[in-house]
Amino acid sequence: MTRHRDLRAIALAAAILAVLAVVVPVDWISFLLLAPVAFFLTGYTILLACFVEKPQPWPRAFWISLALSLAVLALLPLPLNFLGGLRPGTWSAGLVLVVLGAAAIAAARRGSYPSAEAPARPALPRPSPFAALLGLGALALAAGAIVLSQTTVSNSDAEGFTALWLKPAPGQGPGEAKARIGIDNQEQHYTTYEVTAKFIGGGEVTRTLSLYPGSHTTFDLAATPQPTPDDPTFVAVTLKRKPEEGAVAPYRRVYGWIPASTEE
Amino acid sequence: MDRVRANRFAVSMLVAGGGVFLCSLGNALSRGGSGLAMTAYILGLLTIGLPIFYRLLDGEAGDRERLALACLLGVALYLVKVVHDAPSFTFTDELIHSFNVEQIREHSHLFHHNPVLKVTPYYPGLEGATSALVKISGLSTYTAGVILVGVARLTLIGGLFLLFERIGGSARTAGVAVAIYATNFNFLFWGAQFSYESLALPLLAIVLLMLVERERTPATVMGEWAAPLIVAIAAIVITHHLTSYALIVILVAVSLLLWWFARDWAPPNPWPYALLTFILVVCWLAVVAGETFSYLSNPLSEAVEALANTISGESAPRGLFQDNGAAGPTPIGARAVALIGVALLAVGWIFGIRATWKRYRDRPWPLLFMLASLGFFLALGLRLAPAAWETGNRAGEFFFVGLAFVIAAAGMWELRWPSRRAAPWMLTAAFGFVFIGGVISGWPWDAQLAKPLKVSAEGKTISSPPLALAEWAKEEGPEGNYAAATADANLLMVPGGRTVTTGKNPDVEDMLTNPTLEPWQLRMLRKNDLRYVVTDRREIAGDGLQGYFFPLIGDERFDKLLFPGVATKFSKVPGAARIYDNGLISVYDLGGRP
Repeated sequence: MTRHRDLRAIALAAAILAVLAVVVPVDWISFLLLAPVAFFLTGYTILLACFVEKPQPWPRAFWISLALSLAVLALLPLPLNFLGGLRPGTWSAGLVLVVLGAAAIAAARRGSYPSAEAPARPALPRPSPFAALLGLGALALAAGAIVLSQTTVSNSDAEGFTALWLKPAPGQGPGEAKARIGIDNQEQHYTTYEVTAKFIGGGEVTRTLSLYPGSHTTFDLAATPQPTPDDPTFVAVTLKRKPEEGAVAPYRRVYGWIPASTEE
Repeated sequence: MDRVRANRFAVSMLVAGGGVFLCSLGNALSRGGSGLAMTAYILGLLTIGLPIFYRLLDGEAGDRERLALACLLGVALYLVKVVHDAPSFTFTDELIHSFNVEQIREHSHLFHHNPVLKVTPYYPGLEGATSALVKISGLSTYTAGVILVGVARLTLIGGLFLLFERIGGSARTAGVAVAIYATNFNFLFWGAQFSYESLALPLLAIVLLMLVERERTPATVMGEWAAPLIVAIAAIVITHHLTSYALIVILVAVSLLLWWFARDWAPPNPWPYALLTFILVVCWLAVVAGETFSYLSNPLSEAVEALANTISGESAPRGLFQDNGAAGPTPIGARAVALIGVALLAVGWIFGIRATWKRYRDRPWPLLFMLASLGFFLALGLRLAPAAWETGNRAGEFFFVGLAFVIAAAGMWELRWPSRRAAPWMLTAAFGFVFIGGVISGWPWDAQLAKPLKVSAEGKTISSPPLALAEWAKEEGPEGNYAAATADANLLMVPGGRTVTTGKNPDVEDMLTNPTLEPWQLRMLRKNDLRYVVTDRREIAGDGLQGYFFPLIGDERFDKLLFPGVATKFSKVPGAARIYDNGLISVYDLGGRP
């Protein structure tokens, strides 16, 4: 391979990029390092290994390389699944091995084709400043479109709501059981709630709290009476929105049993 | 590309960028409830499609410029899909496949169970490929999936362009054919989603390109194509069942056509690749993906039965523009545009079939495309049979490759027009109808635009009821198996990270819509170890495309509620606890009493 500068450069680039992609902790930079290996170099080296005497011309070579790289990405998980699993290290090593293997085959085959043509270099476009400016404008519009699509907008017709939930929670002392109650405000406005927990055979606790839209809170209440392994404590929790104080039916209701001991 | 052409292309890029922005604006307006949303969206689509098509018709455009324009069209339309629902997947299949990626992310191995679509883990091509980006770079499944499908889309466009160029012998025909292909019903949304076909179809296009190039290679070096073809074919086989079967059919057809012309099975006849694909498919089915038989046999046999019943008059034909879910009606104007689009395709096909026969009747590939183009119109007939609708819709995407070539091969720009200058304008206008008609035919009208999954309220963000359920499940929900309606189930899997059963097998769907508690329901829940039942009074919860969003005041689709009994009946189960309640959606723990 050492006699073939193009193959050497590809193999070296693939190895360096793949290692850096694993090492660099910033996901987008890691992706930018990985992309040439994952989406092009694996397929391109396979193409170089196959078409030695007369390499494929551009742009065909580009599109086939792209497709073969996708095919490698689809196929490589099968061996990796049985060779250590799909982990950053195995993935990275797998991609580099494909490039190195194909480059080695290409180098070996070139030896038996003395009249082999060198792969042509792609004619990269050299846009005028005007074209480059318009291209940047297009990219800016596309980026703006994506940012806009990720922007949350208001909609007064969307019906807000509140969620109430209940689950057992461990207490501070050994054998102490608690009920964990959660309120999730997905209403369109700041809302005040009255939450009542009624323990069967025990007491009743009422809390008043207020939440901004999109915020939630939880609180734990000690089960009364404390449950035993044979006799869990039943609790029913109701929630009313504050302007509904007088309403007979609660806005939300959950219920369940609190067992004797609960692990977090 | 010379400077003038490069400048023209840059202008096309800017205009297409504007079109994408308009579509994004349309989606944002839709999420906000504005009536101008659809106008902005359609205007955006036309801003993308029409100038590019007009330039592709232009005889002065260069070959490379045409390829670049075709890619620009493909990328811009892909971005229209991306801005529809960023930054999360909202199509049913996308959530199912991203669950598989999450499983690989968590366990570092393939073939983990998918409770909603059991067959998908056995075709791990897409998820495996995505896991490379996820595992190495740390990108989210959504971002990695969007990038991967984007690269696949680009591959599809480039592959089809080079294929059409080689077969038709003209970059102009190729460019126009690719633009026409982009009008197929499934191009904008279905084919661009994070699903296995979105990766397999581009690979199929490249396999066809490689086969065509192989035919033109001297016999002594024809074997050089073997490795790339085998790699691409193997990748298709492990990525998507239907695409691999379509590949077998195509390879057999090409082999027979080549034999017909040459009376010789020797290379370049691709029969060994047809045989290889068949063997790989059978091996994959036998060793890994045996579930595929039951997965595909039911809908296919239902499709055949429905078609027979419709033809014999035993059942009424399916109405056009009728969605199986809870979609609202398609406006009359939109229906008219869609029908005009199909009519224009038929007109183009009539011209195209004559021209293709005249020019290429001694060549196998154009003949194959002619047969495929006929297949497209036959598949349209399947849309009239209720259970065959989906089969016809999916087949259309493959047949459209042939139809696009045949229509482009008509070279309509060279026909005798009343005014030579009017020809490109009229053809571009016709393209506009076909393009928008395809968009309307391919996706429910009221799902064309984004709906509010999250809403801004007093400067904060609130989530829709099913999304809030999924967020609760992820943070606070108990581990274990859940039973839920389709939309709730999909979100409970991703982002909820829970194991959920939905649909008909086992019959969770009927259990969740039946207001009375019957013994079979409890037996089924016990048998399948489904401890947590998610009840949802929204009828739309059964719709895997539209059931994720906020109920909107005044929108009748959200007013359709199931009987209260569908939820309250579980409170009668001894030992059942209601552990979550957000009004419309509740979660029952059937093993609530320890």
